[in-house]
Amino acid sequence: MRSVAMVGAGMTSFGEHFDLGIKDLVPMAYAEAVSNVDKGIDKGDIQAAWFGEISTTDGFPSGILADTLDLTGIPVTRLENACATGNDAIRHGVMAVASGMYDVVLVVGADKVRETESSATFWEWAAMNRDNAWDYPLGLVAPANFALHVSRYLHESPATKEHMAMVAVKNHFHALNNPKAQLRYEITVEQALAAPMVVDPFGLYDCTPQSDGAAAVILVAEEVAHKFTDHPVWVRGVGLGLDRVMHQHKPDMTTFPPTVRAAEAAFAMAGMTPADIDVAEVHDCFTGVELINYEDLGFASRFEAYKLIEAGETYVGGSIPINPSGGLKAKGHPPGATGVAQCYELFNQLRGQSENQVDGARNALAHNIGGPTAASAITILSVDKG
Amino acid sequence: MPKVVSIGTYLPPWERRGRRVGGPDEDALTMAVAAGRVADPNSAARHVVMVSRNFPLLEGGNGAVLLAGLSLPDDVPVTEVLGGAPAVLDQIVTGTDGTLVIAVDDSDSQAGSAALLLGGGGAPVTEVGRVSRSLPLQTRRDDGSKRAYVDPRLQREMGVKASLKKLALQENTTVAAVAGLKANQLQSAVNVSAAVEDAAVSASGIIRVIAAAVESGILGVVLAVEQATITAAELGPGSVRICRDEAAATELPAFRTAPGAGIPISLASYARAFEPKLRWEAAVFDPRPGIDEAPLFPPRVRVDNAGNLASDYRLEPLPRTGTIYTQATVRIPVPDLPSPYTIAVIQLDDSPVRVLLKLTAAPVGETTIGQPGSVVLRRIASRTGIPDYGYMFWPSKQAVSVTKGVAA
Repeated sequence: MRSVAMVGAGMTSFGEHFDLGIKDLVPMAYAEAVSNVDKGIDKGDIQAAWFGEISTTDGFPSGILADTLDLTGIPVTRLENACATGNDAIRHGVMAVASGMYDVVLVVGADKVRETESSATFWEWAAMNRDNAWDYPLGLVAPANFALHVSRYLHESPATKEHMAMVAVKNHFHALNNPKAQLRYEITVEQALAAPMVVDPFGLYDCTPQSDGAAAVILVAEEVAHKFTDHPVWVRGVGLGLDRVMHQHKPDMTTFPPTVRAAEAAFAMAGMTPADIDVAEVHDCFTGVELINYEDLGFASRFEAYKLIEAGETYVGGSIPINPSGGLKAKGHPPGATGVAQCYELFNQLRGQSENQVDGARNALAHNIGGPTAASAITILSVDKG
Repeated sequence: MPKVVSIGTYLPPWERRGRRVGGPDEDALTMAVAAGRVADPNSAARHVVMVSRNFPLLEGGNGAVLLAGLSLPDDVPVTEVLGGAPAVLDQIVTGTDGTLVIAVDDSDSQAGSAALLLGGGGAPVTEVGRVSRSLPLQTRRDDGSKRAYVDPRLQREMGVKASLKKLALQENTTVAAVAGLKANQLQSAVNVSAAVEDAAVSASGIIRVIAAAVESGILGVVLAVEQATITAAELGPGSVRICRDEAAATELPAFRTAPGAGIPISLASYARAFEPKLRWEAAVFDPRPGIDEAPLFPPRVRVDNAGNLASDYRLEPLPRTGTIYTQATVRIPVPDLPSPYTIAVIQLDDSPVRVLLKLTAAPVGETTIGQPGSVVLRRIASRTGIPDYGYMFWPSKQAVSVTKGVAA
C-alpha cells in the first residue's frame, strides 16, 4: 500500500445557509481546498472523486458534484454512511490512492439540513435511519437516539449533567476563534444546566445545531505529493466500525462498539496508540456523547471520562485537546460534511495554522459516530509519513 | 344455553375534571383488547363481538388487530356491532359457547371497556324481550356531526316509559341491574329496590352492572337502555370469574401535538411486521454455525456461516413484563406526535430480549431506570390517518384483581 498525503483542505462556514444551495456549497468548499494547496492544483489533475452526502436536496448527488465542478470526465461516487459519512468518504479516497488506482483524488462532504420545512425535517431524516415498521413511528428523534445511551451512561458512571455542561462550555469556548463556526459565543455551566430541556438528559446547550455546509480535501499518492506541497499531512490510518442498528440489540449502551472497532482498525493501520494522539476532533453531536467517545477512543479509562473534562485536559493547552474547532456542538453539523470538516481542522493543526493551535501537534484523530449509533469512521493524520 | 363464565373490565388510568378519559395513545380498539385480555386470559374465545359507537376505522378493518391483541388465531370470526347497551345485551343473549362480547366506549363522556365470555358452567343471561323505538334525541352522522335534542322529560315519558310499557314486564318484576338510566326512573313500573345501576349512556355499562349484580348476589331482570330502545334479560344463578383492570385515575398530563406534514407509512412494511409486532412473538432458530437459539425480535431471516438461508424459524410468545434498562424523554414538540413522551429500552423478564418501546400510562419524567412494568397494546402513531398499533410499556402497572362472583 502506498502512503497517502492530504495536500489541501477547505470548508464553507457552517450555519443556516438559506441563501446557498448544495450546488453553491460544493464549489465553495472545493475552491477553498484548492486555495490551501501550497503549490496549486489544476482541476485536470483530479482523477476521481467521492461525495459524502446523507440526504439529497437537489437530486442526484454524484451528478451534482460532477456538474457543479465540471468534473464529468472522471468517476464520481456518492457515499452515504449515516453520520460517519465524512470520514468514511475520506477512507474510500485513501483506499483508492493507496491501492495505486489513482494518484490524485478529491473527497467532498456536504449536506443541507435547513432546506425543507422545519416541521418535516425530523420525519424526513428519521426515514433514513429507522426501521419503518418498528422504530420509525416511535418518534426516536436524533437526540433521543443518543440520550438512550447517555442516560444509561450517567446511571452507571460517576459522570453527571454538570460534566456534560462542561463539554458544552469548552466547545463553545473553542468556537469563539473559529470563523467557520455556527455558534460563536461563550456559555457557562450554569446557563447550560438551566437551558430548556430538549430530550432528557440533553438541554438546549447539550445539542448540536442544525447546519448546512460543505468541506473538501485533496488526497494524493506519496510519489506525487511534492508537486503540490512541501508540507503534506499524512493519512496514517482509517477505520470503519458498525454495530446492530436497533437499540434493543445493543447489549451495553454505555459504549459505542462501532467507535471501538473503527479505532482498533485505524490505530493498527497507523501503528499508533491513543497516547500518540496530540489533538482530536470527535463526534460531539450531544455533549454526553463526547464523554463516551473519550473512553471508546482510549483517551480515558472506562467511566473516567469525567476526570478529563473536570481537569480541563481536553481544552487546547490541556493534555489531550478535543474539538479545538468547536466540534459539532458549536461549529455545526451538516452530517455529510462533518467528518471532512474535522479533517480540515486537523490539516490546519498539523500545519500549525489553526485558529486554536495545539502547540507541537504531530498526530491527530478525527471521529464520527452516527446513524442509529451503528456506524463510526475514524481518520488518523500525522506530520510524519510513518 | 351459554352462560357467563368470565367478565373483564378496563378503565384508562387517566381522568380530566373527575371523568375517566383515554390517553392519547388509546382508542376503542386498544381498550377492547385490554378488557378482552382480562376476560379471556387463556385466549379461549371462538367468536369475538365488539360493540361500540367509536370504532377507530369504519373501513380498513379493526378485526385483525383485535385478534392479534387478544392472542386469538386469525381465523376466529370477528363481528363489529355499532351500538350501545341494548346491542351489547342482545349479543350476550344470542351468543353461543365461546363468544367473547366486548363493549367499548371512547367518547367525550365515556372511556372504558368491558368484556364478557360465554361458555358452560357460569351464570345464565337469558332473553326476556326487547323494544326498538325511534326517538333520536342524540344523533351523530357518518361525518361525525352531532345533534342533541334537549328534552329530558320527553325522553323519560315518550322514550323510556313508553318502551318499558311496551316491553310489558310483569308488575313487581325484580330488576337486578340497569344500564343507561337511573333505576328510580323505573320505580313505578318495576321493583328496583335492589337494582345495581349505571346511569351513563354507554356500551360497556351493561356488562359492568351485570358484574356488580353477580358480585352482590342479586338475581333478576337486567335492563339495557339507550334513548327509546330497551333490551331486557334475566340474570340467573351461577359462578362468574370477574377481573378488573382498573387502575386508580390520575389527571391526564398536558400534551400537545405540533402540526406537521403527517408521519409517512409503508403499508408493505406494516404488513410484513404485523404478525410478530401485534402478536408479540420472537423468532427462534434451531442452532447452527453462525446462528444461535436466542429469541430474535423482531424476527428476520438469517444466513448461517456456510451461507445457507435460514427462514425456518418458529415464533414464540414474548414475556409481557419487564424493567426499564434506559430511557429518554422527548420534551420538544415532535410534529404529529403527542408530546412530551418517553422512549425506553425494556429488558423483558426471564428473557434475553430487549425491546424499544414508548412508555404509556405514566406521567412523563417520573419513571426511572430499573422500574418494572407491563407491556400493553397501544396506538403507537397515526400515520397519514392510518392507526399504527403496537406495544408500549406501562411502568409499575398493578396486577389486575380477580374475584369469583356467585349470583345466587
